[in-house]
Amino acid sequence: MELDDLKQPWKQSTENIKRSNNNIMELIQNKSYGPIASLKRRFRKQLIILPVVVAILAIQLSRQHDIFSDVLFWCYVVICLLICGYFYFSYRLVSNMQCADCMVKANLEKQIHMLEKGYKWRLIVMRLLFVFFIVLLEVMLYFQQEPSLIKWYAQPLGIRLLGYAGLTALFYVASKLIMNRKYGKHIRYLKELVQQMQ
Amino acid sequence: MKTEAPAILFEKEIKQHELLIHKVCRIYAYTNTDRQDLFQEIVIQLWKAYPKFKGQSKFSTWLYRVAINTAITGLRKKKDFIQYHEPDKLPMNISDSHNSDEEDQLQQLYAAVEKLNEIEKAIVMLYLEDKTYEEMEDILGMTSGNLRVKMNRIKEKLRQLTKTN
Repeated sequence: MELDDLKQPWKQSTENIKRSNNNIMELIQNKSYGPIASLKRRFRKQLIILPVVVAILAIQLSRQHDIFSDVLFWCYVVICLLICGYFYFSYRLVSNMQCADCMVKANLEKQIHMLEKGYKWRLIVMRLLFVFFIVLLEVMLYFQQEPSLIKWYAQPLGIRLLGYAGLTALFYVASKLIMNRKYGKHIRYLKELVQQMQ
Repeated sequence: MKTEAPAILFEKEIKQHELLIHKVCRIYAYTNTDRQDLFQEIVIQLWKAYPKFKGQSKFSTWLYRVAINTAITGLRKKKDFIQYHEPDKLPMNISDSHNSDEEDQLQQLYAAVEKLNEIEKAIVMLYLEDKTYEEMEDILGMTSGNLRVKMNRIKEKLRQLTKTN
């Protein structure tokens, strides 16, 4: 079968396609179900939910004790602000990611660049937050001991450091695996498409 | 009224070029539901990109870009969508042609095209649409030299695929 011989049948068959009765104005009111639109919705939701959760937590804690002099509370606030910043950064990144009316190759390359950039930053933020938690845990020993951590603080420093090192190593591997599972497959798919264009 | 004018203009343009969107849906999706989903997503993406359309290229060229971009990366892959579809399970009513010879040929074409990768599908569709290599270059962003080489390879691939069918 020669492709050139099929030009005519192709044209005829496509001319026979029934025009849909779709109401274009109604269609454009619908939600996009593309991966980028879904990601944007997810980040927007997280940006709203997180401050609400922190506010509820603050109200609950303030009923039990004076939260303004509580180091742990302020640490939570800083962490939540950092996470909010991270969600906002991700939201902006995703918003700028797709260029639907760009040439196909340029669009793919842009998406790969943005996703890889996002991937790298997300990994850095996740790992920094983890290290921050570990440092916080140890620092709290000298300022404000959490009752639930008394047993842990009773351990010798060497054991604690060994525990932190183990957890850090585990988190390093797990964070990479999680991110790879979340974004790696899509990045590989996009790279494959660009490869197909070479 | 300010917001209505572009929408009305957009609707007119889409109605005029609706067939092009259906062609992209036909190449990239194989069931009616998938085609409807893809059609809707393409129209939404076109609407979102419409304010940026300044008429620097033909409307059809711009539309093909958005449609192909959406078909290959803008839709979540469902298990029964695009590359997960088994060629043997293609619905028989994929062609609307009534001439049985032509229909047979087109069925063969669709079955063979399904085995091509996403980029090759786009090239075949644009070729069947009689687009020049310069227009294809403008849509896909590949050089015309590269497109010519690819086209020859695809023709050979399709020949082999339809020979074995």
